[in-house]
Amino acid sequence: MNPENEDAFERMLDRLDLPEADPARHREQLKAALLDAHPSNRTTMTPFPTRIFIPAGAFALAVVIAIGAAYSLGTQPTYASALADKSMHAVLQLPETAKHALDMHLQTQAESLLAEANGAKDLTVLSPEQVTGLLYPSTWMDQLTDDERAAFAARLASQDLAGAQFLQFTDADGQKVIIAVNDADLPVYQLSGVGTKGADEAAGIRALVENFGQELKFVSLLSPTAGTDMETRYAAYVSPDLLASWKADPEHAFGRLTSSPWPEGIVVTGMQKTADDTYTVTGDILDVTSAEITENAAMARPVTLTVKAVDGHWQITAVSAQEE
Amino acid sequence: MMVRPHMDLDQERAFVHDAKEDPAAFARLYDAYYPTIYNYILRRTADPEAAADVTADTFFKALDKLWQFRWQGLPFSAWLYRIATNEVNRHYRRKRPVASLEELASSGFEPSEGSTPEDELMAIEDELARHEAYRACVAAMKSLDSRYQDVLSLRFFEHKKLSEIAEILGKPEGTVKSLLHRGIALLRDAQPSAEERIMDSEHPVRAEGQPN
Repeated sequence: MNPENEDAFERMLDRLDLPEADPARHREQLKAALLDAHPSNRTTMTPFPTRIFIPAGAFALAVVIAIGAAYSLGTQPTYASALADKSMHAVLQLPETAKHALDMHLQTQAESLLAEANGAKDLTVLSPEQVTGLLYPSTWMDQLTDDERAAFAARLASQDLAGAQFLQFTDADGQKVIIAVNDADLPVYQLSGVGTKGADEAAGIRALVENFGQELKFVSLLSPTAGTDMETRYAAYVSPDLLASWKADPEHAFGRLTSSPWPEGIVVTGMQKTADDTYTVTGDILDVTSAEITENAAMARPVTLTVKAVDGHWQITAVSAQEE
Repeated sequence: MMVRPHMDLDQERAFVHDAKEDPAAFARLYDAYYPTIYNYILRRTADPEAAADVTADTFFKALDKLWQFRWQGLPFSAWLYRIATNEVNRHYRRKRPVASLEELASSGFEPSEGSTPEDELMAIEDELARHEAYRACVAAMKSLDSRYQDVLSLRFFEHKKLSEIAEILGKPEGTVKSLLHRGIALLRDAQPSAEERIMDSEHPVRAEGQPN
């Protein structure tokens, strides 16, 4: 190369007008994700054992061989959420055909499954020991049929779950779901309590809350008969204590305050089993006017209900909602 | 050109020390160096989406490896540049598809207000299109071995001195110098048309018939 030309070329490179950008949205999102993943939010990382034994009993001895540097991260929701995000990212990077094949394999949409996991309040990471521990009696897996538990145990022993990490959460119907995320970050297996006792329980609680929601518009809180109306309309759904407190103080009860809008019902958006006998149900109270009924529109007011088993019956024991 | 926050070495050292345990200190380092690192990667890839992806990989790796960082009198940014350089090269090696913005939006990454990430990256795409000489240069550069790309981009895109490039890449200064010299020659020779386009864009309003 001619040295003179070389110098000119180099000078020109030095004077290049370069693009400069600040993608603020990306910067903010990444910052939030990094701070969430900061080591101060994690517990001490310890390697998985290389071999895990599933207890003998109803099932043959099964061995899961965990390969690679997976981490036992206990139950931190932060790490669980990061793992669900990472898995979502891996799914999104798949070509459409592979994504479709994965959906078929999981028998559900991988993206929706991971999105639901990430939205669950109780999302957690289980170590392989914790997962195999679920096969012992007196865990939520007792709700599964023998065939379902046997299939799960066999799957745990399969080579394609080697090195997997496990996410567990409670879905909108109150059922426990386990997702196995393999070492390529893909969700390769899911187990949910479909068709189990848990599903029946959740469906019953959903119906209880929705039926209660249907009664709200029939109780005018400013009416002199509010107490009697509450007794008539709510007694089948709410606990005696809660009903008594509402009757004593109708202003803090739930019902109809004005002729319009009125509470048309409650739409259940989430449910979480917080104890053996307690669920927290989240949803929206739909406030409507006659015009909105025509337009099929409504104002949604977030509501949270506590539902407890009292003397073998599910009852609403607490309700809180945003101000109208 | 945007003004980037400056951090002196002592201040930086204190933040790096604290950042291992304190998210707020890490946030300060991130705020200080995100623009530098994103723009470095953007210029290397000429692809706003890939740049966002590789920037995320770079900072996550930095966070993961922070406990290994030992202060040796070199700026923290040199360490970040090194990670970013490795991540850019990894990006080209694996050539994995980057998640589309639509997919990110459908998975809950959609912002609730203001401009969307999609708008942002499209605006950057538009910005890139206005820098014809740079685009010609980066297109030609991509045909070279990554060793030359690393040195050329740090020298001409980031305006680093030879000593700084040597620190970032962990190579002797003499090696950097010869890689740079050879890289410039290769850049010219690999795509002679690129040189013309780069040179031409220096004089974009040359009238028809006017001598070169």
